[in-house]
Amino acid sequence: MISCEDAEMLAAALSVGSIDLADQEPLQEHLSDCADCRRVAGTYLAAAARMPLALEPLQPSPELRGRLMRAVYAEAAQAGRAVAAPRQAPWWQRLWAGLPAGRGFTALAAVAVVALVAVGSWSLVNQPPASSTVAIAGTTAAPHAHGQLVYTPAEAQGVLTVTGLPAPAAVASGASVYEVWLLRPTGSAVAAAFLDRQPDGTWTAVMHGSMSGFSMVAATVEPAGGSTVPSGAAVIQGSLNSA
Amino acid sequence: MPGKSDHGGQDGVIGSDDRMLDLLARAEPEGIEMLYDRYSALAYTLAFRVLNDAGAAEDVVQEAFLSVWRRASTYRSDRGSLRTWVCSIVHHRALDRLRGRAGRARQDLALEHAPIAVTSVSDTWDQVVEVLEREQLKTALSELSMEQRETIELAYYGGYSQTEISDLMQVPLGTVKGRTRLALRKLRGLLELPVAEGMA
Repeated sequence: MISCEDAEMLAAALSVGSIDLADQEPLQEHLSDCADCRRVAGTYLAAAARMPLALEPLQPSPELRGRLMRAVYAEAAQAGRAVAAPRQAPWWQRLWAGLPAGRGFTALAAVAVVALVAVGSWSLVNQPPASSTVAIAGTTAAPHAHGQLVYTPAEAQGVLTVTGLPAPAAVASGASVYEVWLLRPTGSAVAAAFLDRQPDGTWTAVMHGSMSGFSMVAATVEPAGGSTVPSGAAVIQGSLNSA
Repeated sequence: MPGKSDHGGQDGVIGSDDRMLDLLARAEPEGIEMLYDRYSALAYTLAFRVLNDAGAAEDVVQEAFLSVWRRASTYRSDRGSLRTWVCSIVHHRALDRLRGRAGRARQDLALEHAPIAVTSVSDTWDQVVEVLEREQLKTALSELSMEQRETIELAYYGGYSQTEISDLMQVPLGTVKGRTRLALRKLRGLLELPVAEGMA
């Protein structure tokens, strides 16, 4: 076993991430048996971790927070954890009146109205079930897309999962995203979330808030950062009346 | 005047971390939101300094916070502050990313050329503490010899191993190890880090 002096030297190297591969195991062995050196290693690690404080701080892009939290909420939902709404639920404050302007979306809105008349609104007020599952189908713009929306009224949360969806085509202004919308029977749309691509190729979005009063869910291609009203082609849709 | 956080005693942030820690321990997403709001700038600054690539730095920060989220229940405050934990994860992942690059290509892009170089802190006292800490660190680093500072910066930000630094600086490996240890000892002393901050 290496001496405490050698271990201290290697611990210093470890704390700044420069320990050579061959030195890692001897250090690990020593630290597992030597509480004093573990304490010293801890102080070195803490000192090294302070080095970035000397740098002039930079801010990541605002979008990073959204990406991270969508992934966190999606994982929490999959793990069945009860989650509170994000502190800054963007869509919850983005209510619009009026019909959407996009061509593809106008058709969807019309379908929403027809579906409402034919089947009735999706009521979640009276004795809501534990969860409802809505089938999601691709439009002609993405014929291979399909998936489901699982809505849990008690948690006021919907988890949308879609497969067979290609990466969103670029729009005139550059990069694009898939933005998820909830449609009222009147045809007005509420931005609910963005679809995030998972490592296995599926797309997921977690929506927070009651879905009562909405009759359809859809996603459209929008410029990066999203739009205030749907403007691009719809790629998926699902009737909330079928739940 | 509010005091410093008592978790590790070194965070230099205002208010108690208790609520954040409680939320993290219970795997509540709000906990990671609070943690992100507190440390994302520091994490991104570190990742960008190592990688010199805004996109890669954001990837690393996202991966690191997701890792914290998944492992939050294993966090023990007696093993070090949350900030030390977050910085360590970001640092390791940034180095992994750097070392994974073909040919270990590095660009010596100056930090001031970063795409977004503005910080905003909502709380005035937080801002004051941040500035004081930065000044303290700068002073501490300036107390190191040029060789010591270069050695730990090549290691910490450059991702070079001790052997590689020995080659780069054209000094024996033992000298690199000695300089690293002396630099860390000095930093620890200048920053007056208590043993409790460690990972014993």
